[in-house]
Amino acid sequence: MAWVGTLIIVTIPLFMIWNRLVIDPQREYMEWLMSVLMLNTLILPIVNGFVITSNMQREYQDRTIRNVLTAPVSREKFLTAKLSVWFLWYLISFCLSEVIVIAGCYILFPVEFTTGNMRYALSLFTQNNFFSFIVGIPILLICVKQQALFYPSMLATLGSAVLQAAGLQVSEELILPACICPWTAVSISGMVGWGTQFWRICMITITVCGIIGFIGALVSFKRQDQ
Amino acid sequence: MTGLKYTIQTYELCKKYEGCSVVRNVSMHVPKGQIYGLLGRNGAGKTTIMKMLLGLVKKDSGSVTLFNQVMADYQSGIYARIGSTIESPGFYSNLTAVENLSVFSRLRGKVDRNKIRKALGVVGLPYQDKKIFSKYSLGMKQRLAIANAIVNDPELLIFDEPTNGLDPIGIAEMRTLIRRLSHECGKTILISSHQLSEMEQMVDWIGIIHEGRMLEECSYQQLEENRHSYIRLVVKEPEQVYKYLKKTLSIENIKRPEASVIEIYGLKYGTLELNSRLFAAGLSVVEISKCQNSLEDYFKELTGGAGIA
Repeated sequence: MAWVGTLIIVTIPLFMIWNRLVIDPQREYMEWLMSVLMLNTLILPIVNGFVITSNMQREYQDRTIRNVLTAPVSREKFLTAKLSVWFLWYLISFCLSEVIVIAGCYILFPVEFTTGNMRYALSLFTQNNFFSFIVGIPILLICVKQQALFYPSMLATLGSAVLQAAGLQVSEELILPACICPWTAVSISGMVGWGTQFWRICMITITVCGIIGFIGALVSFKRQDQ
Repeated sequence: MTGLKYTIQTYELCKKYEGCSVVRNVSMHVPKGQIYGLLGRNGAGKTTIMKMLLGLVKKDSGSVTLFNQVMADYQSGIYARIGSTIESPGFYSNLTAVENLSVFSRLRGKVDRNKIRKALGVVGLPYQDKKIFSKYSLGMKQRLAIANAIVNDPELLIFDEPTNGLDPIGIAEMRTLIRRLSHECGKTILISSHQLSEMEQMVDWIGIIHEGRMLEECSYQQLEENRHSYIRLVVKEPEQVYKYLKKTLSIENIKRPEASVIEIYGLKYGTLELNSRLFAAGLSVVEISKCQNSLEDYFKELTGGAGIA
């Protein structure tokens, strides 16, 4: 599943490069970049949710979790290891994706390929991807709760992706509530200026969401009978 | 049971699932270096007890002492001294036997190829096999689960219905292996099963569990003594024989499982004497034999009529 996930993630910028070259050669730099970001915002959380669901669900389904826990591995270590591996996969995948985005910029927009523009593009994508991972951590809690099932976390993943994509379309009047909702806050944080009050609210809600998600998963897993 | 050292002791162990008691005040004593059979019907609570011992399930009340250490819930430190298989074998389906054993050995601290080779050899699985776990037969999966339990050379082995899915030869081999592990290697083994015949041939101690309650816990030798001996008569005139036994010989404990069959409990008379008396009274005996209640009969007696299977 992880390999397929990585393949899907790197396919997004590749598809957008092909789209610009073959279908829409008139599209400008900023428009192209935002289109990549939009697709990225929609697809990345879905793939991310699929990967952690598959990773956790199979431990329950194949009952390997019993052999692991009686090996013995502490429940905290087990969950922390899952989170670490999940993040490592995510980091590698989105780094690969960003390399392709930068390469795309170089090929498609040689004039706009400046240090300032690339720094902006990289920071925008990195922040968006990183925050997207943090707000995805509560999926881990659902994975623990659902045990051998998979559809609750899949539904939550789709919901999270829709909210993140909706965050890109939020009007100015709704920006504060959107900052308070961690999933829409991911997209808002990329649109408001770095270090502004809205950005700070986004940052806080996203961090709190991630922390609650992980602690919730940990507490739930520690109480769970296998 | 005094004077014995116990590897496992539980006291008043209780567990409820959604308000339904599955384990009720179970006090169990597993002597060191012996095979303890936990016998009960499906759903009697055997697996839940084993899971509580292994920290996979949290107990509601009671205490568990392993290796003379009182266990807190989900305390993992002591489990390195235990090898176990619980319910169906759980391994990574896309890995081979050696790869799976390596993964779990690594979690225990160290991968020792020789130990893995030895463990696979003991259970009769090939070391150089490229077959992945998902392609294994149920019997092979069970064997791999046993190999995983013994690979780290633990002091205590907990096997939950280890012969499930094995063919008769496989069951016999497993029995020999379990006996060897206990008698030659000094391992303490807790084994659960609902197959009475299998337990009879293997265990030193037995715990009979029914509807979450421990009904009896004793050595197998003691169990043999507890099982009632009786004389079985096949006669032509059952009514007359019955009256003669009751009135003339004053035998109280008589059962009539079939029309022409009479079972005499209490063994007041031997078969020879009884036969002579009946003959002298002019009552003909077709067949006379001394029998012993089977473990299944004893189980039924304890559980108030509920059979094992």
